[in-house]
Amino acid sequence: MKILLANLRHFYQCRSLWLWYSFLLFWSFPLFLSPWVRYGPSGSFPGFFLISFFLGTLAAGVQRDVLAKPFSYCLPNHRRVPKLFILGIGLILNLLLGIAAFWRPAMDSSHSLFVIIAASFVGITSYLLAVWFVFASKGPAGMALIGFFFVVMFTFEYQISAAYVIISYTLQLIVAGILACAISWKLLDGDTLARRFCGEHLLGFADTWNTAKTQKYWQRRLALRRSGKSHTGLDRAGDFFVARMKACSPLGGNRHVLGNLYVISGRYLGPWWWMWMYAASLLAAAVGFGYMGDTPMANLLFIFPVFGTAQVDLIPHRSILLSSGRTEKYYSAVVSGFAVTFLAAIAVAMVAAMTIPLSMVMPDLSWEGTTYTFHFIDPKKSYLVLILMPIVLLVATLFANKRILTMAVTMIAVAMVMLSVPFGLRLEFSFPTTVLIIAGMIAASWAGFVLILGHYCRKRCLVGQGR
Amino acid sequence: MADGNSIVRMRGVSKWFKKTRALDKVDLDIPRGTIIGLLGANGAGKSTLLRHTIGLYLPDEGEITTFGTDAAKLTPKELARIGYVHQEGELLDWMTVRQLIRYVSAYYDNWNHELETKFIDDFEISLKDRVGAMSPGQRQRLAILLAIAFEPELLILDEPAAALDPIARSQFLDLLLEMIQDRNRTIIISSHILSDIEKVIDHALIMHEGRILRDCTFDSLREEFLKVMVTSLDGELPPRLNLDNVIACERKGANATLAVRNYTEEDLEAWAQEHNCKIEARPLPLEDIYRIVINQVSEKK
Repeated sequence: MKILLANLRHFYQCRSLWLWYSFLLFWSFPLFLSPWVRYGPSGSFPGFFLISFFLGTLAAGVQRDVLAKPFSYCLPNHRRVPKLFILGIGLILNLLLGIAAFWRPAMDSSHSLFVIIAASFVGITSYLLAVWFVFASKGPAGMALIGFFFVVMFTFEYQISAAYVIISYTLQLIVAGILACAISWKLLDGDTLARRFCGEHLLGFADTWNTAKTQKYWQRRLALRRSGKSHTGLDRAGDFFVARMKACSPLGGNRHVLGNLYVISGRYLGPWWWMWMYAASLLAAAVGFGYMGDTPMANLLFIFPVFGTAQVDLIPHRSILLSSGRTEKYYSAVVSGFAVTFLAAIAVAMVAAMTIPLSMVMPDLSWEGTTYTFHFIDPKKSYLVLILMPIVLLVATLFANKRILTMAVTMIAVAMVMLSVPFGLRLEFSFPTTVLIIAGMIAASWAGFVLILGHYCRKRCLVGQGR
Repeated sequence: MADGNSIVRMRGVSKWFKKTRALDKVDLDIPRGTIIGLLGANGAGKSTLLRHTIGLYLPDEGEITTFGTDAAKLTPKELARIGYVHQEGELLDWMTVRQLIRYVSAYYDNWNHELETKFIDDFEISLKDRVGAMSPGQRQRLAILLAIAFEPELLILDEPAAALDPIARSQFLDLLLEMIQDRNRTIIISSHILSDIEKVIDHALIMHEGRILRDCTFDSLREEFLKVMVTSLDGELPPRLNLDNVIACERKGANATLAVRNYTEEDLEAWAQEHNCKIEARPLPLEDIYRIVINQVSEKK
């Protein structure tokens, strides 16, 4: 019993989990509110099984983190705890959710009881599905939740039909739920799980905001994925940069700038087929944003590079002592910042430019009574990239060990664009007023970038606690 | 040990991390051509001190010069003379070993490819492996290779042998012994494996809570602390041995083993003759000396 309680402590002592709880609360509102708004208080709230999925991910994710710690392998009587914990907590939570979602004072009591039990078993099946997803992979547990958000966003319409299924097929659902529990009881074998995860390098829920661990995890994954494979693109890039570095004067800054660019670009380089993947992504983005059409939401296209570069530390190898002094690190960081922004602006402008010819050939699409027309996006709006990127790159570099801050800035940028939607702001590019304002904003953004980065490189500790 | 030959000079250096004082008014001179052992418990400030010498950390108070230049303003010219093995062995994990060596070597015009090849063979480093997929020991070997292959004048090794197995550690010590043949090379080595570093160092720095407790040659430290085995030649040893500066004493019948401080062998011989004893004195191992120095500070508190 004590071990069970100790496992429960993770859920309130681990501060990073509270952030996930706030996400859960945030998403629970629309989940429960949507049918209420549309159908009034008489409607049911079957969206609860999505919350069960979230809870399953959380419960299994935390247990997986504990199993990965080598000391837990030898803890007496610990191996049967994950199974007991996951199923015990799951049954209690889903019973509560079932009551919250389906309890009706007006309903016949025996039928009401069956409906609640059926709903709870639907919940636990969803919960166990999430558990299975988490234990089936060694990837970051938080990834499953990203899928959850999308499911929540696109299932409002189907929640009501799910309610009818639960009310109409109570017995069948109860039997299916009991079966799911029995299978899980068999599959969640403590010995197998302990052996499978002991000492594994996992990215747990608690590590979400630990930049050092996150970077190490992704670098290791990248290395393992690339291990034993020849990557012509990466090798050629290496040849290109190293040859040019060697040709530079040892005391000049160019060698260090080229080295910095090589390391920053490394994570984006791979085999040649990656080029096709990038091209396909650009085309897909053009189609997607084209159908967002003539709405301010299409402005999100110009925020996209911010997501892609939010983790780029412009001083990428701080603890390997190379012959780069603080001045060289500063120049390298500034040039790399310009280069990354320039490439991002080009990519975004290309996507926008692609929408122009596509707008002539793409047909209208109808879905659920709404017609979506393809519109072209003005490439001139790429100026947004030039304004936002220096800010995000600066935050990512200055607070390279505080990932949450970079995420916060990124989210603020997205929120600003989202907020522009109700005001109908389309960020049009008109001469001369907006051009002057935009030019001023770009200049201010870059001046801040150059000055603050300069101060940081000269006056701050570059590694460790002193940053 | 200040003299005009110092390649690193610190004066009144203090560093705070929030409320923790990591360095407390440190004064230090590191002369050229010495092999310095930097000893201290976890959190004593060893890594902080080393990072200050190369300008990765900036002091809150005081000044540091390395090769005559302010450590915060070291240029490629000075940095190309410094090799550094980082405690955590952070490397560029996505590269292969070959790519990483090529990349780092591109920064140094004096990269010694023969030494690189020798080291790769001796340490059995596989060039095809991805750095991120290597074991901690292999990564540490690679980090050492990257720090020494350009034959730096100042080599800073922050816990270099922590992840190495006994054979690799012994190879690494052989390599250090080989490197110190060059009289111009200065090596600062911080390690918890004191039995290893006492084989190579000629100078000792003992740190505790951000302060330097001892800064002296290793020989003087070994002369200061002696382990003395006393055997009485006429029965039991007297209840009081009448010796000052005894740090530790273990007695059994006619025999006693003492740890003493500030005695010459001549003094001890004279004492032995006076008390009709046979005496055998030898230097204390570094581990014991370290423990005594740290205990003395704790007792004073």
